[in-house]
Amino acid sequence: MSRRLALRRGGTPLAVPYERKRDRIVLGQGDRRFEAEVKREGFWFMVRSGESTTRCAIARGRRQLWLSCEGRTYVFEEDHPGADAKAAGSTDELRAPMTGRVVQVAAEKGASVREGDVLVTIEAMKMEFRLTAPEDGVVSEVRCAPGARVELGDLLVVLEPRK
Amino acid sequence: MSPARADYAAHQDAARTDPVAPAIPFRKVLVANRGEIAVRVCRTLRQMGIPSVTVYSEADRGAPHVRAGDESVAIGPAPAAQSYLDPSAILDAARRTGAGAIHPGYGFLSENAAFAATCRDAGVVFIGPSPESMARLGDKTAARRTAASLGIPLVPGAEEVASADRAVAEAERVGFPVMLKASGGGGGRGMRVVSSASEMKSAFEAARREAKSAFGDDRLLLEKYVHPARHVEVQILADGRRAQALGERECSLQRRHQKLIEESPSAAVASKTRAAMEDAAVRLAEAAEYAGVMTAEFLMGEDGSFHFLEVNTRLQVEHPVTEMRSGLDLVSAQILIAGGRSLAEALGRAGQGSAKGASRSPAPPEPRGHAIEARLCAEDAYHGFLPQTGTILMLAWHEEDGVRIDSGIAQGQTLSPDYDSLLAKVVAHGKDREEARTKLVRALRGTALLGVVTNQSFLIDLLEDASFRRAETFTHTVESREWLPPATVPEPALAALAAYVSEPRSAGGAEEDTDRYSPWQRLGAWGRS
Repeated sequence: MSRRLALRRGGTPLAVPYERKRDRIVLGQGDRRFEAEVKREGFWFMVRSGESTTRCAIARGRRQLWLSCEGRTYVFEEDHPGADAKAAGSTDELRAPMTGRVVQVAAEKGASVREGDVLVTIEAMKMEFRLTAPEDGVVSEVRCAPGARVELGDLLVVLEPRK
Repeated sequence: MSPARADYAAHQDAARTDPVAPAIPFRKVLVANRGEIAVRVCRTLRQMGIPSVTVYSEADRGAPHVRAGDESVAIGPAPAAQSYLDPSAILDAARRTGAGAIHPGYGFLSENAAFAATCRDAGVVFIGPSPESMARLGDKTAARRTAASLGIPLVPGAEEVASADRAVAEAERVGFPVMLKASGGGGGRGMRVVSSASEMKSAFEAARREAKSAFGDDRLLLEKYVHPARHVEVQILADGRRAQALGERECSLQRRHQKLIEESPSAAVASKTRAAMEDAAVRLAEAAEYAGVMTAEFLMGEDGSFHFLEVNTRLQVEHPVTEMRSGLDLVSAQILIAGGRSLAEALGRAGQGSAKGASRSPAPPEPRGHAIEARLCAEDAYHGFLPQTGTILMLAWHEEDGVRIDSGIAQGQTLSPDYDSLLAKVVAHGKDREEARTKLVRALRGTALLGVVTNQSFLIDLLEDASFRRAETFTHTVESREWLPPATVPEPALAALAAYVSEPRSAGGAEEDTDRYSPWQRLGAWGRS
């Protein structure tokens, strides 16, 4: 029975039909096929295709599939409609690039800022990181305060770019 | 078995069989740290037959270091200032458990002279130098003065800058670019390169905040930014009277002034330069009547000239590089010296097999081969080295002779943003640099750490880079280039594996495996019907 993988990596969809028979996986169809045999060895999976064998590890996170191979880690997201439908709006949303603590908020609502101006400073793992304005504009919203703990992806500042 | 492990074992045997072996110096030792260094210190304590106590914050309840010792004490909430940096919480834990000595590891309270003094007043041995030695060498300003009085060349600069305006004036005197540094600590915190007067105000304030938060001390000093330069440091072991140099480490590959790769010996240090650096480091230690392990850091120019940078009055993160070459256990040496043993005893007893008669000969073991360490950190090296958090879904290390892993993490652990991003150190020893390098690359390629973005792939890039192969490494090497994720992705193989594991309930294959340690089983089935 044919099934379909629906993943994406770094925003690029990877949708491919596959078939499985015991340890054999056939990806794709017709001329564009990739056949592999998978064997489990402890933590590792050996993926053999023709002459080459790739040793991989795999684990599933909450929304992601993590794979490791030759010391490189690859993260696949489960695909769902609209995953890349990030609105190409006219405002810049500055989001927390990591989980941490806000140490300083330089952005003030209504203030004009120049590209590169520091808007918010966050500390994580004892290092400070500065979020800067991606372009010239006016700060239309400030959604964080010094001392606050922020999670990865939290909205911190909204900037209206100067026309 | 790796040389280091073999050496620990040999040391243990010697301790058991030597009839004149002095009793272990302490009844019980508290390890006032977390992560890989707490685990590593506990290992030596166990080998020395000394019961150990670890401490943990609320965020570290399930962390590996909590289980590494014989007992563990909760010391407070997640922020370090209220737990690992809180002197009274640490001393209270020592009192409650009856620990007679405290090993501070690195970071946190390890270079805090006031804490060392408090320990002494409380009748607890601080495993490290005396508060007086620390004040003379650990404080960067005082260390510069001590070095200057001994005629050791210094990087031009100003010992104390109280304001951004003062810093601008000093920077104009020595010439931009300059480096602002925290007087009271190291590890890259509170450091900023400033290339013009207009950048000074914000850099000064940021460095000051970082210094305050990391060390509780916001004093800054200013130095001319030497460029291009290599970072070379000398390891010292001393007993308060005499000091012994144990070779150098080159740690030029850094990001944000934090080291990524360290090695010994340095390919760029000529034997004459090595002797001069070691001599300078020994004189610094002896002038301060230093007891314990110490590192003197130098910047080396392209012409081989060197300038004194600072002293770290503690065990360094990269100490395994020295251990793997010398066969010494530096933590054991620290403990012996803190327990009143002489340098000769510490060198002999913390060393390898030939312990008989070693106490009469203070000469350290001749270093063998080459060792390289890579720091595995939770950070996205391809995107500004941003710290990463998350839960470790799977962890598998590469084991091989001559490869040592000092790790503070475990599968299932959730990383807190409250602490340093260092997860583990992977260290390789080989007969020469190339053998150590290939072994380290193999160890990193053979490691799987899933669930948190780390710099693993980037470390491989660095070690495989032409500049590293040729040993052309400078303090600006990492940050002067753009590093990109690997261009070729084995996507078909990865997709095949993703497909393979997406139907765990189908017949046949690996799914019949009931390995309960498999992350796959633990995390449940992935897929859709």
